[in-house]
Parts: sequence; C-alpha cells; structure tokens
Amino acid sequence: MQYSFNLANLLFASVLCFVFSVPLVAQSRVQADAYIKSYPKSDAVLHNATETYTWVIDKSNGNLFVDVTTDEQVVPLKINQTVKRTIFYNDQEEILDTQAQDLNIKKKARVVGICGNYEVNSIFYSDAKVCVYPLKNSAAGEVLLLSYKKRYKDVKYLTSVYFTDDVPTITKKIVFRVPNSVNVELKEFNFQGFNIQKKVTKDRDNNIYEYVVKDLPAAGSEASVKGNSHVYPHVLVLTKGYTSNNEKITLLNNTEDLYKWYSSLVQNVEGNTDALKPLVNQLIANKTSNEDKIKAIYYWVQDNIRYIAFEDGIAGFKPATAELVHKNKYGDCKGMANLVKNMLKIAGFDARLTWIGTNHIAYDYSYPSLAVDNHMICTLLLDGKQYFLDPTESYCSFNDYAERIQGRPVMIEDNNKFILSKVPVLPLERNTVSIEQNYELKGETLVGASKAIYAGEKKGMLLYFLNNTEKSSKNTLLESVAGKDKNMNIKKLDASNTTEREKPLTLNIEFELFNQVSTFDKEIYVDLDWYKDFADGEIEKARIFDYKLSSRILQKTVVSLKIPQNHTIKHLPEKVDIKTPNFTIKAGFEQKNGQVIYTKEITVPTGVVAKADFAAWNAAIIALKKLYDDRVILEKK
Amino acid sequence: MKKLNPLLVIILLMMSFSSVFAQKTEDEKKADLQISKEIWAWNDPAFTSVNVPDKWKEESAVILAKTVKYEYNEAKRGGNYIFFSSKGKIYERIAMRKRIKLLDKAAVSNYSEFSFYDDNNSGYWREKSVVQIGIRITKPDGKVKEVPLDDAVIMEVKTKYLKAEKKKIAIADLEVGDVIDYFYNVMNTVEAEGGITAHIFNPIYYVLQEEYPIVKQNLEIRVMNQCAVAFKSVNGAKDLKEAILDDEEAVYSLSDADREKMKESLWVYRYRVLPLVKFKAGYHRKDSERRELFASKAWGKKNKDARRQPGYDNDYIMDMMSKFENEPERDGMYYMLEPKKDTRKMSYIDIYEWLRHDSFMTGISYTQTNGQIIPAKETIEAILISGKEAKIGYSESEIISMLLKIVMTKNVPHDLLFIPRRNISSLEDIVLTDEVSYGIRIVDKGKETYLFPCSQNSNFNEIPEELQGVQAYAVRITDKHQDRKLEKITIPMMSHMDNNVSQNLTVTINDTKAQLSRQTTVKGLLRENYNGVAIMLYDYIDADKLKYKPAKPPKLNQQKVKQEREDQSRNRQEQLKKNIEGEIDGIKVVSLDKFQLEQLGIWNNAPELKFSETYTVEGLVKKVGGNYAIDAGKLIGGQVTLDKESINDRKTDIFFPYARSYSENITITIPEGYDVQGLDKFNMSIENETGGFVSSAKLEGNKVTISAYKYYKRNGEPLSNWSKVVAYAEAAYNFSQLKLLLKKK
Repeated sequence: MQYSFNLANLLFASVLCFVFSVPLVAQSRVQADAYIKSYPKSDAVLHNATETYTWVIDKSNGNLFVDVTTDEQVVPLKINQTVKRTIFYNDQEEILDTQAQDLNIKKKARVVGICGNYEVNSIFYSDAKVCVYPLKNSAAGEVLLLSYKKRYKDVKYLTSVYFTDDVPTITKKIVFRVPNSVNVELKEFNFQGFNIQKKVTKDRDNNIYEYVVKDLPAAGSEASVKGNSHVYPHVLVLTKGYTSNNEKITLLNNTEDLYKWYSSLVQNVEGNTDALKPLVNQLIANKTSNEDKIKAIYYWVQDNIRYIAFEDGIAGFKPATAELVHKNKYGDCKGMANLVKNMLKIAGFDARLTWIGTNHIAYDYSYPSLAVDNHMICTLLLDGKQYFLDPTESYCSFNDYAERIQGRPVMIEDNNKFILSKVPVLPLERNTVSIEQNYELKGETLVGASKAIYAGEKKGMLLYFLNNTEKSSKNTLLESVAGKDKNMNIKKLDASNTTEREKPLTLNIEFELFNQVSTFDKEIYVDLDWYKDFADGEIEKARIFDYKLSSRILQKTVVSLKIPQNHTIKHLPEKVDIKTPNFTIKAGFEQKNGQVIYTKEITVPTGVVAKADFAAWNAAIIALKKLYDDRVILEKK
Repeated sequence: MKKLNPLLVIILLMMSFSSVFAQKTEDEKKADLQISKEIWAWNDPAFTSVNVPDKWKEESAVILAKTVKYEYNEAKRGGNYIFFSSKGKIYERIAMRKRIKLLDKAAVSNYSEFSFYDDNNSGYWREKSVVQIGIRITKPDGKVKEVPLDDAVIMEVKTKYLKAEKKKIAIADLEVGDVIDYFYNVMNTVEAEGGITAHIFNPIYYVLQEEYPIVKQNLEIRVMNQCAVAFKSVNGAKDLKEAILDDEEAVYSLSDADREKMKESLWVYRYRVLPLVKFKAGYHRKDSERRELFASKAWGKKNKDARRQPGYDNDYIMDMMSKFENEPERDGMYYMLEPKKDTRKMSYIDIYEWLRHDSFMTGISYTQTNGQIIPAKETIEAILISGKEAKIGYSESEIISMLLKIVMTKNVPHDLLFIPRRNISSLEDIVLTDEVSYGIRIVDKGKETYLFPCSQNSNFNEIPEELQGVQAYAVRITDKHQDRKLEKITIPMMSHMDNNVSQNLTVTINDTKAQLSRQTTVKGLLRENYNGVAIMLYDYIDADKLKYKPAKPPKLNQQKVKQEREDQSRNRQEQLKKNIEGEIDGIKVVSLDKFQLEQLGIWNNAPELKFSETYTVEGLVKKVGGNYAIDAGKLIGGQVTLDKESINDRKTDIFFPYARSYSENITITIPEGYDVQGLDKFNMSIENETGGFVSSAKLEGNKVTISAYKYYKRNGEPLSNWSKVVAYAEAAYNFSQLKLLLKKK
C-alpha cells in the first residue's frame, strides 16, 4: 500500500515535470569552466543575446506600438538543473510568442510557461505579472535557446531598457529600430566603466541604434546599491511623437505633455468630501495657529491611514478618492496624499498633489517619462513657502523630510500649469545619533549608565517598529536597541518620546556589562566600546558599485570610565583620525579628571561610500577595528 | 498578512499542480450563503463579547471566542453542504470561527489583509476543496460591519492548461479597539472511480494555545455513517465529551477557557508539552477494515463503539505485527533479493549495511518513453548524473518487513518493537498510528541486538534519536500466534560517549593572523551534522563503489561526472569556511589551506567520521598595547546562551535530541618573546547527574594546552533538574568568553 502510494505520487510529479519543463538538448557547447571561475555564485550566464525594439505604426488605426524580439542563449554552469527564465508583462505589455529550441524535433517549439501575478511583499496588488520558463539542461556548458516576442501596446510604458540580466551577461546586443516617421530619443545612463559599444546606422526607413555589451554582472549581485537607475547601464527611451498619414501626433514630447497626462488623471479625485468635514473641524478645533492646524491633519493621516500599495494599470497613476481612502482607512501614496490635500483644503489651506521620484531614481523632470517619478506627496503653499507632506511616513514631523525625498525634484499641480521645485536637503545634524556612557569598574563587571539620543532617519525607523510591534514586546525591542545580549544586564530602562514624532527618541539605561574586562596579574584590560559600529564595515575590494549606507550618518559617542583607586593608566589604544571630503572616522582615548574619556565620531554626509573612496574607507575601517581590538590597560600601583 | 490555515497552504500546493479552475455554480453560491448564515448563528455567548479580561489588557490582541468544528461523513444526495450525489464520495468539513479584540497596531496589521482560495478541483486525486470565508468588524460603538468580499483582488497562476486563483482582501476601516470576527469553512471531498472503500484523513493536532491568549474556545468533531475518529487529549487538555446521537452519528466536544498565549522555549518538543487534542478520522465501507485507523480491538465491531477512543491494546498491536510478517513480498523485496545473498550466513552488521546500500545508494529511476513511464533500478550516481526522476530510500515499513524476513531465516528468538516517537508522544499517549516507529530486537545467547530502519549514514548499533530511551512494546515472534505476548520494554539510550565530537586543534600565531589546524573525530549520531559540510554525496558514492563493486558499472558521461564532482568540491570549501566561522565567533577565514576526509565513518569496523582541516584566520588574535589577546575560550565553539527569563521561568521538561559530548584539546604555541597570562581561569569543573563541563589549561615549554569536555548525560531531564543543566551550560558560556594574554617579555 505504502509503496504504491509513493510511486503514484512520484509518477504524478514526473509527468508534471514533463509537461512544465522543456528538455533541451544542447545545440552546441561552450566551455563553462571560465564562466564558473568568473561567476562562482551564478548557476547560469547569458552567453549571447539579441534584443530588438521595433517601433511600428498600426496602419489600420494609426496607433504606435513597440515590438520586442529577444533571442537568448543561456549557458548553465551546473549539471541537470532547470534554469528559470522570467519575462515580465502587465496590462500594457503582452507576451506574443515564446519558443525554445527542442533539437529532438529539430524545430523550435512553443514553451509552456507558468505565469501569474508578480507578488512582492511591499505591494498589495499590482498588474505586474511574470512568466517563468523552465529550461532544463543536462551538462554544464550546454547552450539553451529561448526566443520570445513582446509588445508594448502603449509606447509611453516603454520607459527604459536595462542592459543587465538576472544572471551575468557575456555578450548582448540591444537594437532599437526607429522608423523615420517616429521621434525617439535615447538617453544613456551609467555606461561608464562597462564594456559597451554603440553604433548608429540608417537604412531606407529606419534609424538603427545598436549597443553591444560584454561582461556585465548580474543585476542584484551586489546589495546596498543606490537604486537601479543610478547604477546599472540602461537607456531611457523617450518616444516623443510620430507622423501617421501626414498627421503629426505628439506623445510625451516635453514636461508639459507629461504634466498634461498626469493632470488628466487627478481630475475629480476628491469624491464626496462631506464626510471629511466634521473630522477636519474636530481636528482643528481649538487650534489657533496655521501650523497647529496643519499638524493636526497631517499627523492624523499618518496615524490612522494604513499604507497599502495598489499598482493596478491606470490605478498605478490615478489616486483613489479622498472619500474612499478615508472610508477604508487605507491607501497608497497617491490616495494618502490626496486625502491630506483635501483635508487641508477643507481647513482653508492651499494644498496640491505633487509627483516625485524618490532617491532611488536618477532622473529629474527634464525627461518627459513615466520613469521620472515613483511616488506622490502633497505640497502645502503657505505664506509664499512650500511645505512638503508625505503621509506615508508614519513618524515624520511637519517641516521634516525623509531622506528618500530630500533634494528630489517635484512637480506640483497648478491647474493647467505646473510648478517644478525641489524638496530641501536638511542638514546632516538631522540624523544625529549620540550616545553618552559612564562606567565604573566593579570587579570585572562594568557598571554604568547611558543616554542615547536618536534623531532623524533612525528615529523614524525606531518609532515605526516600536509602535508596530506587539505591546508586550515593546520593552524587549527597546532593550535590543540598547544593545542587550547575554553580556549585558539592563537594570533600568527609561524611554521617552516613543510616540512623539517632533522630538528625538531618548533611551536612558542603567546596566552591567560582563566579559568586557579581563584581569591579568596587576593589569586590567577594559573594552570600552560596547557597540563597535562599522566593525564589519569593510567593503569588498572587487565591488563594482558605490556602497549605499542605510542613511546619511552622524554618530557621536562619548564614554567615560572612572579610574579605580590605586590604578594608573598603562596604555590607551592609538587614536584614529581620518577625515576625507566624503567621510570622517575619528576615535580616541584621553585621561581627564581621574577618568578615561573615549570619544568617537563617524560621519558620512552623503550616506554613500563612493567606489573612488573604497580604499580610503577600508583603511579607515581597518584602523578603527584595530582600535576596537585594542584595550585600555590599567595598572595597579 | 493573515494566513488562514496551514490547510489552505496545502490546498494551494495542490492547486499549483493540478487544479482545473471552475467558477462557482448557482447551487454552490446558495450553499455558501447557507454556510455563512449557519456559522454566524453559532450561539456561544462568547461570540458577542467585546470585553478583555484585565490581566490581558496589555496583550497585543485577545481571542474572545474561537470554535472549530470538524465533520466527517459520506456525501449523499440532499446533504446539507454537498452538491453532488453519487455514492462513493466522502467529505471532511472544517469550519472555524474566531473573534479577536485588537489591542495594538501590530494586531491591526496582522489582521488587515486576508488571502484565501475559494475554489479548487483537483483532477488527479478527484478531490475537491471548497472554501468560504466571512469577516465582520465590531466597532467600539457596537456597530457591526460585514466586510464585502467582492472587493477582493485576484492573484492568479496559470499555465496553458491549468489555472489557479487566490483572492486577497484588504480590510477597510480596521482600527485599534475593534473586534474582528471571521470564519472559514473548508469542505474537502474525496471520490474515486467505483466508489471509495477506505480513506484516512490527515491527522490533526489541535493545540489549545495560540499566539494570543484565548478567553473561550470550543472544539467539536462529528462523525457520521461509516466515518469514525480516533482521538486523545494530552498535556493537560480536557478529555472530549461524547454524545452518541444515534447509530449513525456521534459528536465529541471540548470546551476550554482562559488559555495564556504560547511561549517559545529551548529544548522542547511542542507536541509533548502543549495542551492539545490529537485525532484522526477515517472512512471504511466495512467496519472490519477499520483497523488502520484504530489501534484497538474495537476496530472490528459494527456498532457505535467503533467511534470510541482507541486503546492500543494487545490485539491491535499483534495485528500490526503480523502485517509485517504476512506481507513481505513487496516491490522492494525483489530488489533486496536480487543479488541472491544467502542472508542466513550474513552477520547482522552485513545485513544492515547491505540494506542501507540498497536503500540509499541505489534508487528506482523513471523515464518516459512514448508516453510510458518506465522504472529501472540504478545506482544513485547514475541517477544523479542523468538527472532522471527517481525514488530513493525504502519506507520504514518496507525496511522492517525485509529485516524481519531475513531475521526469520536465522532461527533466533526475535521481537518486533512498537515504539512511540518521543518528539510526538509517549507510550501512554499514543493514539494515532502515525506516531509510532518499528524496530526488531534479536535475543541470541543472552545478547540483545537491535535493528532499526536506516538512514543514508546511520550505522549498525545506532538508535534513531526519536526512539532512544522510550517505553515501547515488544512482541516475541513465535510460530503459534496465540503464544505471542506483549511486553513493555525500554529502548536503550546511546550514552554521551557514543555521540561524541573530539577535536585536536593546534593554533599557530602570526601577529594578528592565526593558523588553525584541527583533526576532528565524530562518533554516533553527531556525524549527521557534518553531512553537506565535511561530507558530500560523492564521498558516499565512492565508498559505496569500493565496497559493493557493481557487476556492470553504469556507463556515465564522464564530463558530467567531472562537473558534478567539481561542483560538490567547491560547495564543500564554501560550507567548511562558513562552518568554522559559525563555530568560532568573531573569526574570519582568510584561506582554507587544507582539507582531508580521512574516514567516512559509515562502516561498522570504522564507525567514526575523521577529517582534518587547516585555515588561516583573522579576528582570533588581537593586538593589545604591545601584547596579544587571544579569544581562546571561543575556540571550543559557540555555546548555548540562556537569557535571564529562560533560566528563571522555565515551565516544561527538557527534551534534548540525544545524550552527547564534546571534547576539545587545544594547543597554542606561544611566539618567542612572549609570556602567557590568564591560564588559571580556564580551569573549571561543574558536574552533576545531568552532565557537566570540565576544563583545564597548562603551560608546557612554549605550548599552552587547553582541554574542555562538555557532556549532556541523558537525552532529556525533568524540569526539576533544569538548574543543574543551567549550571554547566552557563559554565561553558563563561569559558567561551575567556581570553589569554600573550605578554611581551
């Protein structure tokens, strides 16, 4: 019984396997050894590929679309695997045909893919879909072939073409065939440092742009990068207009055209705002200053509307009505911005919807493209000043801006016109994290108290977690922020401003530290740095892209240790004092009033360690680690 | 995102393979409405409550009421919830309703999105699942709002031939202080060509605790017609109440209140400590076939007793035992007999190792030719290189059947063993046939030999961890069945010395870098931990080929063999580096300089795994002033870290996997021009009845030798011994924090 059951299960699984995967016999082989050496972490490489974009005017209706044909040779680097190739599509992009080489019948065969909604954690629903085509190989080095055809039904959704793949690329040709009657501009980004050849030719009817790229790393192969558009080589595709039957048709020719389309989507999106009025009146009752009224509304939305992202076709660009967002108590960025705008308007303020690309995006509004922005906020115009309100930030105070929007260009609605502006860049001091600790030695235990202050980006993150974690776990979370582990016993913990967005979060603790002190003969070796920030901060030498830290950094630490009676200082670790235009790492010890004082300051004003700075940065981290490894040595008199 | 039930996940898995999508029919929509009406009308007053007991005011959420009803029945025309009528269909209905007061944002976010699969047809198994859900919100002012399910978005997965859908809904207007009340109703029906004669449903472990405290909960199991259920309440859960409604219907129920939320703790088997009701229902057209479900003589009776709690009595166990004797000629048997070995002359060791070889180093591959699926017996290497679909490893009962048949040829007294798996149940608490494993005991000239089902690298004389030291039943296999008797025995436990890792580590210091050279010898069950780290599959293949030279070696694509070998070798290098960085906290491997697998440890005459490795590492030696500090304590490997709460508040017995020990001998060469300080602290000794940690250090010439020995004497301890375990666990942790100073002369 048992056996036949297992057998049946297995047969079932095998049959499915035959249905779903395409067994491909090698058309030819390449030497996989060199690829395995160069890309030890990859299961496959894109050995050779050609991707051709052709603009076509549909003669029947004069519409413009773009067909993309792709021919890929994928080389697996392990035996008997199934290389999964993925093709994305959505309501505006359809997959027309897919074929894989099946040499059993010496003909191309249609591949059966598994397709469905593409689910990512941060997005509740989107029209993004994915087809997965499993290609089965036998040996490493076999060449698997996959061809497919895709169509962009509406050209404005073809915004950019990336040259990278999810496996390393050995050679890939990207061709754009643009008919003379179509006006397309290709803007190149991040080509520097990569092997990319460009050729422009013409035939009778077309301009042909051909790029050949060689030896590109896999997209996503390095973590902590600034955002795809900042790092990976790609072209931004601007289809500005075309001529059909002697009629000139303008698409997104300039920023005005972009605004015109955006603006058409935000007409009549307030809904019936009657239900909002009592709420707004209640929120601003007894508030006399404008600022207090604005805050009351802005903070209410932050506190009471859950962020749930919908990116469903046109709904990816059109806000839900303020009425609906208020009723649902959830919304995406557009819906939340729209609600804040309408509540502020009810309160008598001039508030506008505002398009913005977060700092993940490398472009500004000089490019008329849907790729320029990925977010929506609300701009308040008051006394000739602009204030930017981003209600998707759960703990952001009025006049404060999250790092992801600081310095970013914005497009503010202004009836038929628009206003271009920029979110201010706030001083680095906004992100101050400061820690002050005072220690005393009790035997081999360090007894002390500490005060930690978290502001800016870190505060925003901590407040979010503190208020979204179970009530009963809040204390545990605070203790872990304080650095609690087996060697730290927290005797007392006071946290203030754990829900207050306008003040920094402060954490006062009294604690004991174990195993930080070792006594050898007459000498006491003391480790005074509990946190050792950036001890693992060395950046791999072979890294290709700039390293993006979690945020812009300004950290200050001061630690004092009371020197026990009858003891003198025998040794203090060598100080580190490295200052470059892009970062500062300073740390050192001194004796002062019967105490050892340890101070440390780390600043990275841009929040990014540029590739050009890797060597200097690593040297600084190594020096810092040396200091961390070293100890204060006290000697008994 | 709130996931409704693990069952739904299973449904998705089924769907992703086999579902043929079908829209709901009008009848089905009517039935949905009926179900929804019925469930909302469940009349436990707790389902109207909005108040949280004071003691739980600081919780994230509190479950005010929860009711789960299971129902098993034949599907007949005109039944309440079934939309088809032919004989030979049965169903399992699971209806769950829960009412939760949300007390913070975390709880709101936990319940703010639901996903569900509301329809499924499985073509292959002819099983159908139908799911309905309903969600209501009670606002603090008492207003009740029904969540419209039409707002759900549909997520789909499809191929050219098949399609499956999942629905997702974001709950609107949900705030702290609200009460969310939701239900789901899952109907799994099973049908088969020509009707079903027997079907066993998946066993259920219904745990009375959850992530939130529960004010009131009810469980109900209803069996009707030819369906029956075996059940038991354990770990402090109340017994089920029985209500026999008539010959065709019985209800078993439990009402429970005031349950604290579940807490995680170290060294625990969930099913041995959490209050729970375990049960399994089945359908048997003939009463006499019910023995698979019931471990009791009651199985044969055609009356209402058949639904009662089973007893696992002698008769049943005897019946199970004879099953092994009477059905030995399974598919697997032919393979076993293929080499025509005369098992009478083979030692038990040889038999065990041969069987392990046959089970794990060969497999049955399946190839498809002209639509036919053709099985063939092949070596595991041939399967690996060809990439064919294959089945590897016999089932437990196949192995026991084979072993039994072999043992019977030897004419020695032997017992079949019936052993509860200790991670699931004790002998007294067994109720489900899934909870037991089998073994054989041979008593030859007063010497006992045990045989248990093997795994890929298990050795003769080793006892699977979940069977060690447990109370079990033994039945002497005699010719006359009426002479057979059930005997309670205790399965032996491997000693901590049988399961041992011994390491000799030599440390050579070169400024802040160090070279670590170590020889490792692993005995017993601990060898398993080195699979995929020090041992790769090809090591087993090579060893197996040496011992059991195949008569006709398969012709393999040598290029692929080379590629696979190189891949495994690269993988081993990666894993070894990761492994030592994980073992010795704070080090970073600069290079892996040497690795040698010296002995695989899978043969009885050489049962120890032995290997040696050399690394250059950073992070162990630190420059301190003009001296060096060495994190010498860390060289014994990471130790368990017990926080204050787990030390002070433990509430359950301790379940270790098995008794075991770790011996470390570390030699550090002191560089010229330095003295060593701090050795005295490395002398520790904490030993008690549960285990111990003993360490010492000495200086001889320019060499420091540190030895440490940690052992867990048994595979579990009663709660009363917790402080004794803590004593040596803490000592070992403190040891791991110690440093040596190399002081410049």
